[in-house]
Amino acid sequence: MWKFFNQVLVTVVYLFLLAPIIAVVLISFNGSAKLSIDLGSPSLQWYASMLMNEGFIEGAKVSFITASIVALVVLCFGVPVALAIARYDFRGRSFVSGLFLSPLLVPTVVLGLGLLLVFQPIALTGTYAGIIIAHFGITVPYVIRTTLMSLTTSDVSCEEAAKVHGANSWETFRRVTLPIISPGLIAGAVMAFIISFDEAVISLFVAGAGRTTLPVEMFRYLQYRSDPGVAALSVILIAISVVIVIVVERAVGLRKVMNS
Amino acid sequence: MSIHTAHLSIRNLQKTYPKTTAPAVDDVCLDVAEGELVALLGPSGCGKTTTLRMVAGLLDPSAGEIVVNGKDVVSTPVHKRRMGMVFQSYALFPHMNIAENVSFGLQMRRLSRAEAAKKADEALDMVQLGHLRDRRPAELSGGQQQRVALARALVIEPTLLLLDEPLSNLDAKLREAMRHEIRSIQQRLGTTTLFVTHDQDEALDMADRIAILNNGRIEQYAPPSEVYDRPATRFVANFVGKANFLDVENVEKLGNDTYRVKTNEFGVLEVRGVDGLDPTRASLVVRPHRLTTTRVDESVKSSRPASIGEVIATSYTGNVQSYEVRLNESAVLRVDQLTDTLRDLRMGDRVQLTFDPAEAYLVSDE
Ligand SMILES: Nc1ncnc2c1ncn2[C@@H]1O[C@H](COP(=O)(O)OP(=O)(O)O)[C@@H](O)[C@H]1O
Ligand SMILES: [Mg+2]
Repeated sequence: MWKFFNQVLVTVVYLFLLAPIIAVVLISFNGSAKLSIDLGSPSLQWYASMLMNEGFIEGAKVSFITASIVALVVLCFGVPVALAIARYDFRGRSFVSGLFLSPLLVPTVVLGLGLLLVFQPIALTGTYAGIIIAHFGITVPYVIRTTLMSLTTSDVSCEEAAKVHGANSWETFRRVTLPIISPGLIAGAVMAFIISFDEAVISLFVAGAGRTTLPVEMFRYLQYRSDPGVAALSVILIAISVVIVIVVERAVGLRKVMNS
Repeated sequence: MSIHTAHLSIRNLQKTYPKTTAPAVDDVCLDVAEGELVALLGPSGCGKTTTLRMVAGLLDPSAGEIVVNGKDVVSTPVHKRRMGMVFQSYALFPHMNIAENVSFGLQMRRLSRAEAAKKADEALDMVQLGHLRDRRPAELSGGQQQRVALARALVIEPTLLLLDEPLSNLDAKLREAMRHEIRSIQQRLGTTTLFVTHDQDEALDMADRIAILNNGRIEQYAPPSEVYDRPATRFVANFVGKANFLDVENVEKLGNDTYRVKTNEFGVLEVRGVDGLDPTRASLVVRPHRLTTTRVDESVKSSRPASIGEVIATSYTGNVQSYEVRLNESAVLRVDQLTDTLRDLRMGDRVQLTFDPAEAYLVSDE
C-alpha cells in the first residue's frame, strides 16, 4: 500500500518536472501557428522552417564554436587549478578553492549587466571573445569540481610510483595522472559545453549587435513571433543534449564521475 | 638482471611535518650493507613510512643525510634516484596492462621498446606472471598485483628496493608464501632492501637486520636473534615476541654485560644485560618459553631460581599451550609450552616456575 502510494508520488513529481518539456514536444508538432497544444493536424513544418532559418543557423554556428572553445579553454585553466588544489599545499589554497568552488550567488542578470558595463568600453560586446570570457566564468567551477573529484578519488601513490620509477613531473602527468582523471575531465568539458550552448541570460547582455548565440536568437525570435517554431527548435536542442550525455555516459561512465 | 646495488647510510635523519611540533622521525641513523635486507619495524605511527619516503625522495627531510654509494642524495630529485618501490596499495597504473606497468620504469629510462619489452617479460617470468601480461591490474588478485608491483620495482635494477608494508593487504596464508618469495628473489638478485612492517614475525623471518622504531627513534638495530634474545629496551622486548618483566633492585654491575640483581620472586640472580644501562631504571626480561613449570606436589629441589604461584588462565593455540601464573600481587607471568611436553595444568593449580638465569636479560626501562 505504502509502496503504491510512493510510486504514485514519484510519478506525479516527475510529471510535474517534465510537464513543460512534454508541452514543448507536443506544441512542436502543431499544424497551426498557435503557441498552444493543438494536435488536430500534426506536422513537421516547424522543424523544417527552423532548420532553414538563417538567423538560427548562424546562431547555432556561433553557439557551437563558442561552446567548443569555452570547453577547451576551461579545461586548460581548470585542470591545473584542480591539480594545484588537490596535490599541492600552497599559501591561499583554501581561498582559491573557495573562490572557484562556491556556488555562484550573484543573479545571472546582475552578472550579465556587470559584464556589459565592463565589455562595452573595450568593445568586447558582440564578439566571440566577449561571449567566451563570460561563459568561462560560469563554467569553470564545473570543470574544477569534476576534475577535483577524479583527483581526490584516485590513488596518489600511482603518481608517486611513476616518479620513483623515473618519470619527471610532466611525464607523470601525461602518462599517469591525465589518463586516470580523464573521465572527470570529459564530464567537466561536456558540462561546460552544454552550459555554454544553453546559456541565455548573460549572453543576452554581452551578445550585442554582432555575434549572437542560438539561445539569444531564440529569445529575440519569441519577442516578435509566437509560433511553434521555437518549440521545434527546443526539441532539437533537447535531443542534442540527450545524445551527448548518452554518448559520454557510454564512453566514460559519466554517471560514475558525477556520483563519486 | 644484473646487480646495481648499493650501500645505504642514513645519518641523523629528521622530519618534522609542517604545523606539528614533535618530529615524526627523530635523529635516525642506519647503515645498510650491500645486498642486505633491513626491516624497519615498529607500531603504527612510529615513523616507518616517513623514513622510507624520505629515502625514496617523495618527502624532504628536515635535517640529515641519505648517503647512497657514498653520495648524499637528499638534493637529488625523486625520479633520478633510481630506486624501486612497492607501495602498500600496490599503486599499479590502472589504465595500463601488466606488461606496460612493468616496463614503465624502463621506458622512462629511454630503453628501446624491444629491449624494455624483453626485460619486462623476464621480470614477469621471475614472479611467475608471464601468462597475465595483457591483463589490467583490476583483473588480478591481491597477491598477483603485489607480484606485479614487485616486478615493476625490480625491473629497473634499482640501487635500493623500498617496500612499504607490502604484505599487509594479503590474507595470512598468502602473506607467508610471499615473504619467502620476496626474500628469495631479493637474495638471488642481491638487491639492497629496506622493508617497512609493523609485523614482528615478518621482520624476524625476512630481515638480515631489524631496526626497531618507537616515536620516530631507533631503539635497537641488530640481527633478528639479537633483537629477540638481547633486546635493548623494554619497548623492544615487548614489541618483538612475548615478554615477562620482573622488577629488579640492587642492580650491581659485574662485567661489561653481566649484572647481579635482586628480584622479589626469584631472589638474587646473576644475569646478562644491556651494557651501560641505568641501574635504577631496569627490568629483567624472561621470555615465556624459557620458563618451565612443575606441579608443587611433585616439585624437586632445583638448583635454578624458583618461585611458586597459581595458574589463573590457560590458552591453547595448537602447537603452544600458554598459562598465566600469578606469583604475587604484582607479578603475573606468562608461560608458553610446546604441547608435546604438555604438563596439563588447570586453573587454580599451584605450580613452581623455574628458568635458567643465563636466558634472562636485563633491559633499560626507557
Ligand atoms: N602528511 C603528514 N602531516 C602531518 N603528520 C603526518 C603526516 N604523515 C604522517 N604524519 C605523522 O607522522 C607520524 C609517523 O607517520 P608514519 O611515518 O606514516 O608512521 P608509520 O608508517 O610508522 O605508521 C605519525 O604520528 C603521523 O600521524
Ligand atoms: Mg606506514
